[in-house]
Formats: sequence, structure tokens, C-alpha cells
Amino acid sequence: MNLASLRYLGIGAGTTIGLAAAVIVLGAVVGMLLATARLYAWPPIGKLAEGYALVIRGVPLLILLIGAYFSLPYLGMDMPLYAVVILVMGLYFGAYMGEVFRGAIASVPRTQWDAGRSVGFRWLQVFGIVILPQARRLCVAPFLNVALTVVKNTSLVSAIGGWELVAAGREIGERTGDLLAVYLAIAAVYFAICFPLARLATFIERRSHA
Amino acid sequence: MPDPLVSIEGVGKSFGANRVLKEVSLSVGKGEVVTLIGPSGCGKTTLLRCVNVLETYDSGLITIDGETVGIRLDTAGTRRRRPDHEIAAMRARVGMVFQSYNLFPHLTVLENLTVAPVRVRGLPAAQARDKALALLERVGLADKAGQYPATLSGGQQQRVAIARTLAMEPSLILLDEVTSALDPELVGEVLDVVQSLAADGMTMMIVTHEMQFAREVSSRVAFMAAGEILELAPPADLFGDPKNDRLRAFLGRYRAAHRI
Repeated sequence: MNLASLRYLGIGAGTTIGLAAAVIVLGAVVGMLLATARLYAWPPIGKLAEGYALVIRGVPLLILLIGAYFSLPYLGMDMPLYAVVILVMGLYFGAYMGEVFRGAIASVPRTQWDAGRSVGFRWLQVFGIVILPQARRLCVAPFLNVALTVVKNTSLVSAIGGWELVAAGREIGERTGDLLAVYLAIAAVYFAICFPLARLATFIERRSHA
Repeated sequence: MPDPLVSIEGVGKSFGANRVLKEVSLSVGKGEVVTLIGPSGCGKTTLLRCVNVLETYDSGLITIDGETVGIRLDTAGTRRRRPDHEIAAMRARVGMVFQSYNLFPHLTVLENLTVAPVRVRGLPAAQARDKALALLERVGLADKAGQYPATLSGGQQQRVAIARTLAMEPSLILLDEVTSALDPELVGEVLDVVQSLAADGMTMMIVTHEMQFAREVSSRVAFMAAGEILELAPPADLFGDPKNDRLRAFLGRYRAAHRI
């Protein structure tokens, strides 16, 4: 592989990272909404959020991506490919992140609510000042694990004609004929992105048990 | 009796079919220390939690300084739950110390004492800090200000919890079995702090299993069993000359268990 190929792969990697970042941000927002709905909302809304998470987690992401990208235009929503990808993946991984957040919030002891209320905090203050900071500690590691999955799953975008790291590599491979080297390079780039995240997750997990 | 600060009138509460409080009435005067004793599950902790609206009550009325607690009666006499901010405002004036300390583990000792005065009272941070340090001094933990609760012993944590409560300058403090989770050798340091509060004239309602302590610190002691107050008297009378059979049996069991 020559320098131009490497640079091309670099641009692909940048696209992957940007895409993953957008999906993680949207997923976190969706996840937070789902978690609060399930924990604190009027029960029918909570059930709805629970049902959403169940359905989403039972369907392959690829099917959702293909289904959304090719059927949205028929519904009069002609969105650019990357917008569809971010929306679908954000909603999809939001379901997983919702589970992570809900678990973390629910594992802060009930007695912390008592303590927060007894010093005169209002509901939102207890939640924001007492509960969330403790839940955040508990959920960093599992959240990073979902983030890893997001990074790797952005490769599905090439299945609906999107361009990112894998697509960039495939083009190089087709041009040079050296498919093995290219795919090894792609794997190495994914690893380079994910390894620090995985190490961070283990580090935080270990520290929080201390 | 001095002016009543807390008035509990005919308060009843059920958890499902289980009636944990049956028409409990009790008033606590300003500067008085009223201790609730009784077997486990008799409703004393529930009563204390009702005073701070950590539990709701089904019937009767609790007032603090003439203000109804947790509920408001409209003109037709219907009970309506007070909105969140009104309940919070009342809790800000009532301190509570828990059996399991319940410090905020993600905040330092100092922050545990300043967070509520700053966020609820709107006290300037520097002022809250000075006051917190003075309170930590008072409970003998000034050197622990920068540490996290998990690094302290149970007795130290409970003293911080008391200081956290004092930081809000409450007019009433509720203590719920504050020594029950402590190793025996740490009980004394916590009780000393409570005793000093009583000496300063702090109004307190205390749930405890430490009979000797109840005897020393209380203005009056209430014996509860099965959701009722069966005897209410100054400690010398209640411990020295118990009238109620169940109280006599309770004290007998206690003395046998503690060999005193």
C-alpha cells in the first residue's frame, strides 16, 4: 500500500469516527429519555419505552438501515444517506444505552433519595445533584462498551451505499488487487480506535470497585 | 409544657392491610427531646419518616410550627398533597439523620455540608464553607473536610451526617436509630454529639434502641408497640416505674439481653 492509499484510508477512518460520534451523542440523548421514561414517567409511557427497547433489540441493525433508507422516500421523507444512518443508528443504540442508564440509575440506593430529600432538595435537585452523578460513575464502563459496538457497526453503512472506512478500503483493494493487506489495514484501524476505549472501560471499571 | 413545635394528632398509616400507625398522637415542645422506643416493627421509624414526609400518612394531621406537614386541607376539609416545592421547603427546616448515615458518597465531607445550604438556601459558597468547617470542628472532624465519606469510620460518617443536618440550621432534628449500624466502640462518640445538641436546646425526636442513652438525653420517652403509643412519660418515670405490661416486658427483655 502506498502513501495515497493510506491517506485515503485515513479519510475513511475520519468518516467512521465522525459518524460514530454523532450516533453516540444521539443514542445517549435517546437512551436518557428512555431511561427516565421507564423509571419515572406515567406508567403507560414507561411501558411504551420498555416495548420500544424490546422490539429494537430484537431486530438486526442491518434490516433497520436498509428498511429505513429505502422506504423513507416513499413516505415523503427524502433525507440524505448520512442523516438516515445517524437517525436509525441513534435510535437503535439509544435502546441499548437506555438499558445502561436505567440500570445505573436504579442501582443508586433508595436511601440516597431519602438523604437528598431530607436536606430540602426538590425532586429535580435530588436527581441532578445526588442521583445522576453517582449513576454516571456506574455507567461509564458499560456505556463505553456500547460505544465500541457503535464504532464497529458503522461498517454496515457501506451496505446501503454509504462511504466510510470499509468502503474506502474496498476501493483501494479493488484498485491495487491486494485485498488481504487492505483488510488487515482496516482491521488495524478499527482496533486503533476501539482499543483505547476498551482500555478506558476496564480502567474505570477497576477503579470503581476500589 | 413549652410551646409545641411538632403536633401529631391521630395519625394513622397502613402499608396495604398492615396498619403500622393507629391514631398516634404526640406533641413535642420547643427545646424538648422526645425519644421513641419499642420493639422492631412497632412503627416508630415510620412515625419519624411521616414527620419529614418521607412517608405519607393516611389520616390525622401532623403540624410543625402550625404548618400542616405533607398535606394541605382545603376549605372543604379534603386532604391534598402539598406540591414538591412546599414539601422541600419544610424539609429544609427539619433535619434528619439516618441509621445508615446516607452521606453523599460522590461528594467530599465538606461538600456534603455545603451542597444543601448553597443549593437550597442560596448561601454564598464561602460563607457555607466557613460554617461547614465550624460544624466539622464541633463534631471533631475538621481534619477530614477534604476526604470522601467512604474513607471514614461509621462513627465519623454519622458525625458528618449530623453536621450536614446542622448546616441547614433546622428547628427540629429527627434521629432514626443513628447508632444501630455502628460497632459498639463507636456508639459513644455519636451519642456525645447528640447529647451536646440536647444541651444546646435543640428540639429532637429520636428513635433508638439505646435505653441508657434515652434515659439520659430525653425530656420524655414514648413507648410504642404495634403502631400505638402505650406509655409516654419523663424517662425517670417510664424506666423507673413502668405502668404498661408490654413496656415492663420489653424493658425486662432488654435488661436480660444487656445484663444490666
